[in-house]
Amino acid sequence: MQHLLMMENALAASAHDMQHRWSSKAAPWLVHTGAQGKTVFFADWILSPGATGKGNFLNGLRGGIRPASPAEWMEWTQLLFNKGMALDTLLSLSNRYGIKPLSLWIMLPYCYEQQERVRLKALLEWAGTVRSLWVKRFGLSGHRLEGFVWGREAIPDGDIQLVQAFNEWVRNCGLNTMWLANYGSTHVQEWNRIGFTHVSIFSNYTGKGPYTKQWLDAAMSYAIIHHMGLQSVYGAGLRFEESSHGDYLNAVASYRLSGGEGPVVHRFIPCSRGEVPGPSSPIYEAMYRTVHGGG
Amino acid sequence: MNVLHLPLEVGNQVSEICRHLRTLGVRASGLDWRTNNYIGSGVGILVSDAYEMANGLESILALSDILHYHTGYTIYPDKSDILHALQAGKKVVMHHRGNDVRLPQLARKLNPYVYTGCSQPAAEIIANLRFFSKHMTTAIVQDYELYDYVSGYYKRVHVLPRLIDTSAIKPLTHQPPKQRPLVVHAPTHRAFKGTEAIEQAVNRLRQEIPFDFVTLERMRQRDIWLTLAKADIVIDQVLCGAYGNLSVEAMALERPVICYMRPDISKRMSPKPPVVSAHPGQLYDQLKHLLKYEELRRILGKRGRDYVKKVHEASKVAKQLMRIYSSL
Repeated sequence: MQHLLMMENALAASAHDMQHRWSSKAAPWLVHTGAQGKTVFFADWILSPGATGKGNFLNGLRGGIRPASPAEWMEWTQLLFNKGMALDTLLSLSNRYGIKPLSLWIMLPYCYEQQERVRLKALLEWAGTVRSLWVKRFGLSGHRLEGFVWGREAIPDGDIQLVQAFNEWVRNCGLNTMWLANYGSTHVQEWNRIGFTHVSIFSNYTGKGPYTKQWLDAAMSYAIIHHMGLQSVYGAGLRFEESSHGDYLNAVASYRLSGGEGPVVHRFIPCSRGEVPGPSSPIYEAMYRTVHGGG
Repeated sequence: MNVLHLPLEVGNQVSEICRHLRTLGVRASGLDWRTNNYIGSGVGILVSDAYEMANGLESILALSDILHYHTGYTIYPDKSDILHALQAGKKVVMHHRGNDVRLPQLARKLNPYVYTGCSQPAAEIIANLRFFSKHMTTAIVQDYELYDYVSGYYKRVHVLPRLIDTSAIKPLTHQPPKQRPLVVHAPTHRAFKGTEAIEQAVNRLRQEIPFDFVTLERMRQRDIWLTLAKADIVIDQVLCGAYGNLSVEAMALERPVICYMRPDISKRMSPKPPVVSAHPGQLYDQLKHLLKYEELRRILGKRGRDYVKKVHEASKVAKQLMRIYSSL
């Protein structure tokens, strides 16, 4: 079973952050230091932009409230690909510890308030740039660009054609697409028909509020039946009981034992600046055991 | 000021609010959980769903100063998002729109024609109003038809008219010549609008007077406007007792409107809307009268646009809303 780590952490915020903080944040999740020395933790990563330097957002619900400009789309590309930035740092770390191949997914920006044709064009141009830059800079690195993750949890009816057209383009490029959907998302059951290679669902369970643990159990069963992956979420915000993360890890174990075959995506919510847990966090070892089959 | 409207769009009104608040320097956006809203979504609206909104609550609170809820809906089924918002120091206001507060029994007492089949159950409406008014001081309603249902609950209830941008919706400069007058009706909910009664009156009258009749349903707003602009008479709703979005749009297009106005509501309105009032029992006569007198239709049309500019002009309504926000 494939375990992926989704790293957001205001990746699109600033070159300074990227140069000085990204490496120390990413390293513990790439390499685990324990009794057996240094071993790989996550070899499959999703890089998601989070907030831009101007406090705007490239994707997700947040982008609907404060959308990033086209210039900020390009800044995100630079923060991914320029020397000393996200991919350079991550792949260097990976090379240093002999972790190969590293598999990478890039989360897409989402086009807000634009015409349908323009949206597809904008998306293809951006994804095409990412693909070209990957080939140019890291094509011979031995690491893999797996593909793109859709930039929204919800896919409204009005986006279906856009999604299908984009997914087809990606498939023709020899890459994959993934949707981080919700158990209750419209069209989630049609994930394959609308062209995604993978889908991984979030259950809404947070340990408090109206969505009880039954939602997690139901989402897990649903994921198994419909060949979907499952999201394992650690949240420390107002909606989350921190202990709910243990329930997620147990659900991942059950998912695996029950024949779940989709990708398990581990996420941290909220992922604003500086909130990614590190090795001192109690969840760190528990996650390692889950990912590597010891828990 | 950062304002977020949620969790749904209502006949493009939310988009228009956002657009005009933006011209006043407000960062205004809206979320719409109806992923298949056929009317379409305009500027500032992100079509989402309830789950994405629930999962984005931290972001919603971080990026907003005021949460403007519509139609009695909340993100979480237990309404706890309102409590989270208040705990986070956010201002919150509820904008009631109709079936979320129109108590069936009271509605029927006030108006024998009203259709309440799409209202929420009375117990639910009362429980919701108690919850909302316990946590919010202020509510907004769109007209006096709704005012009485909520005024006993909240400390302050503002009547904020529906808004329309008359620079974006203009009458045709030249009406194409027609053999017969065109009567248009555009129901979003047939039973609520009284479509059956309208069709009966139309069918009876067509045996006496030649005219065309078109019913527009499940169409995008802009497409509806194209036909409305060519109408000689627009029939909005004949049961509810107050006029709806369609009347506002038709008046903006200088089209004469037939719509049942409850007399007690009309009395409270100033200025009075130049709408020909007709409940099902009056519809045949009123429609016949309007069909006969082209000059009357022309006068009513002109008065309608003047009325809309006075009462519903988006730039004015947005300023009214700003004053409400300031009072929260």
